[in-house]
Amino acid sequence: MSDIIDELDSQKAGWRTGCAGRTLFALKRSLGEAATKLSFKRIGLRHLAIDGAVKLSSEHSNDADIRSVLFGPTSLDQISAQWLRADAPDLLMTSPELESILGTACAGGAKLVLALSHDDYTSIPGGLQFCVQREEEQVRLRGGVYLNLHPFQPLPRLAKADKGADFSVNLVLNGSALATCRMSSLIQVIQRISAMQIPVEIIIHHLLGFLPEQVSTLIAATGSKKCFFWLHDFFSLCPNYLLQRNNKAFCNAPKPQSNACGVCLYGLERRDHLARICMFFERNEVHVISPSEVALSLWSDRANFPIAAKYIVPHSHLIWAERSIERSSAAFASPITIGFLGQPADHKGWPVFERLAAALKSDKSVRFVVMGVKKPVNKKMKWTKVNTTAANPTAMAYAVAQEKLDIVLHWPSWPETFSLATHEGIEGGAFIVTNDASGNVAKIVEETGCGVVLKDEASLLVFFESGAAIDLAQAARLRRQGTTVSRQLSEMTVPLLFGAR
Amino acid sequence: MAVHAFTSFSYSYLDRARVFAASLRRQHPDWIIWAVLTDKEPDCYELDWSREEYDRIITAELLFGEATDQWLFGHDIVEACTAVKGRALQFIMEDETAEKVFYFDPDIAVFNSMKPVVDILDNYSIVLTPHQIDPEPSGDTIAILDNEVASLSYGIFNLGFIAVRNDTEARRFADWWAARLQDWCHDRLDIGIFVDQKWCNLIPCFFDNVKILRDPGYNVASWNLSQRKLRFNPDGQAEINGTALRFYHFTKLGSIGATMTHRYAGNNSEIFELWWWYRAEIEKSKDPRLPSKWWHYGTFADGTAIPKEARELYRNREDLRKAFPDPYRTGHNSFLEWLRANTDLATM
Repeated sequence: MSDIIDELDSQKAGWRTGCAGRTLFALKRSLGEAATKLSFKRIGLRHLAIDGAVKLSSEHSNDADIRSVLFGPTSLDQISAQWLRADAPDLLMTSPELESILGTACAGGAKLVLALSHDDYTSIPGGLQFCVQREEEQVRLRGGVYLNLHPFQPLPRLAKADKGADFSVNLVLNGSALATCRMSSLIQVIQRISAMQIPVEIIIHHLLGFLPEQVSTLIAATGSKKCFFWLHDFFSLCPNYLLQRNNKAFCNAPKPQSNACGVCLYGLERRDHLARICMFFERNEVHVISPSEVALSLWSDRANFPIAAKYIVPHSHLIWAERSIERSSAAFASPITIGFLGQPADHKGWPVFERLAAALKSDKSVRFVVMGVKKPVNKKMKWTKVNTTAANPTAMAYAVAQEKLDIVLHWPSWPETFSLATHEGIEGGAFIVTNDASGNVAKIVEETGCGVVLKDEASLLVFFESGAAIDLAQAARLRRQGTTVSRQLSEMTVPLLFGAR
Repeated sequence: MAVHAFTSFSYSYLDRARVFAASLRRQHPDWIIWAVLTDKEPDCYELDWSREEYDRIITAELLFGEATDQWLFGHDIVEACTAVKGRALQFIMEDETAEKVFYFDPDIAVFNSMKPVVDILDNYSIVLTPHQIDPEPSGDTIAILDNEVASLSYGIFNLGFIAVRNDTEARRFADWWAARLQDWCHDRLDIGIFVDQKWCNLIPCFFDNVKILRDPGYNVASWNLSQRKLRFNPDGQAEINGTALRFYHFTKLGSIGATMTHRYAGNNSEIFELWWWYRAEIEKSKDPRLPSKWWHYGTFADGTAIPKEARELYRNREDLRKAFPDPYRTGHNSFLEWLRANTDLATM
């Protein structure tokens, strides 16, 4: 106790020199001699409590959030350093070897499709990875050859354009890991293959970890400047592909000179990033593909890049069919089940889901369920492992139906470009609760009527506490009884490469 | 004619002064920015001012001449760096190009244009920002104590900022302020004064054409966060209560500032983003060649720290000032020797 008082006495009081009217000091001054008789207890950064007297608690619900802001990384370089691999590629495939393999695969004039993504879509779960799996499957069905390349060294940014940089890429040929090679070797091979009249098309699903300058050289090696460029997220607008200022809040991709960019971890990098992306678009004939009108609209509003064409190709369509079964009123008696689908990540609304579950923990009419590949740390909720792949595209929808989810809470902190999870939830029979800044999630809910779009988290709690959630769950159950929903998956880029079926 | 701006600091605040100047330059590349430095360089250290954002440099020696060292001995670092402001303002106002003059504390960062205040000075001579512009709720005892009562003690207006037009009335203010700060720029809450700041409670009483700026976007700090919320609008501009954030006062970078900010920022996480940015900028702006907490006037010649009480004694005793015209000197017949013999203030 005396340490605290000594510290106060030694500090300059007042705005200019010290405490800026610090709570304890102010109280001590007002209480005068009586203050020395009180027991002071400092509890970390959060609050000061006076035992037996006035409680000066100032706890805030988002202390962990604040600490993560205050004490988080100070630069993208710092974050990138944590990504660096200690190993080098075991063996680098040479150009002749690669040319031989690809030449054989494309024998007979099969079209070679080069698809760039940021990671190994065959082993890492996720929506984008599912889309690439689907695309590979469809290319092969059309008789094409699918070669995915992703950086050997993954990075949370574009690779730095150091002079003479020639980074390594991992190759996956028709769904099987092939080799690692230098980008320059691949460029050489593509040049030679193209010269042999083998058609080569390039699809860019993501540029994370790539050198866009070298990708331009790869495109040029096909003998054309054309490439397809997917807007799975907003990496072309900012190194933070979810447009989360300081990893905390959606920023709407303002101008790089804005206050928001000025105080953002990604702000400094963004200027150079945008310049390099812009140059990429200027050097090539970029055909932009967006999975939704919402995403294309936002991107077009913010991107000042020349494009050759733009398309909207949703990842899936919902198909509705009436069903005639006897309706059962018993179905409405059970507690409502609220689910979270996918990775329990902040940007997907996991903290909101957790807070809702905590707020309603005493409510026996509600149960919470999590479905996804990764088990959440929160062990109080039922978790069902679900991994949706191209081989099992309905895994999540099936799980939703099995668990009889009434409501899927999908509360992203960014405007989702598509949201496979929303379609999966509806396909499985649930209704969706989302926020009005969720991008295509809100759009799907509004177009289908399968859910509700709320303004903010306060409205979310009111929605549940008022009983409106029960009404929504009832509506979902009624719909499940009367209608089946299935999804037709898109062929991704394939119709643009091979023509419509 | 131009707008001039100045800040006052010692080398221990060089990092902050750099962040401040860079932020002001971004908004107002055409302003003339002055550094008022109340310090001297450590041995073997030289700052290349041509690489700094400051256009002009004034030192305390330039302002106070031969009396500087003795006069500064009677001031601790905060008192010293604030005591020079009045005379610095006079000095800058003598520059015939100085149409309007702004003062900012070095721990301020400017986020948006100060043009509204430049425009206000077309019609006013002096612009002040109060610590608070909105009352605390009557039931919030702690906030009232922390903020309103503290303002009554330390000064209604925060003198981390003041802006003047170079006219007769503002020069009359500058003359009065400089005179008071010459003799009375002390931390003496017991007699109702607090460095340069508390004096400015009297500005609206003594001077005409005073604008008390009640725009929440100015001088945002822990002492008014209870009533101010920071958001970034869709265009990325920082806004306080819906109006542009002009400048933020990052007072007391460290545990104290963090405590008060945390207390009153509440769930306004954007405020913490601002602090994260500021700490990162400060870190980038540090000069590793400078000794930690360096202040030339902080020690006797032998490096012994000068106790506050010794400064107070010296400034209050004319006989001591006459007997020891160079109070920093050590050795035989020095003030330090006298202190050790006659007081318990310098026992080290």
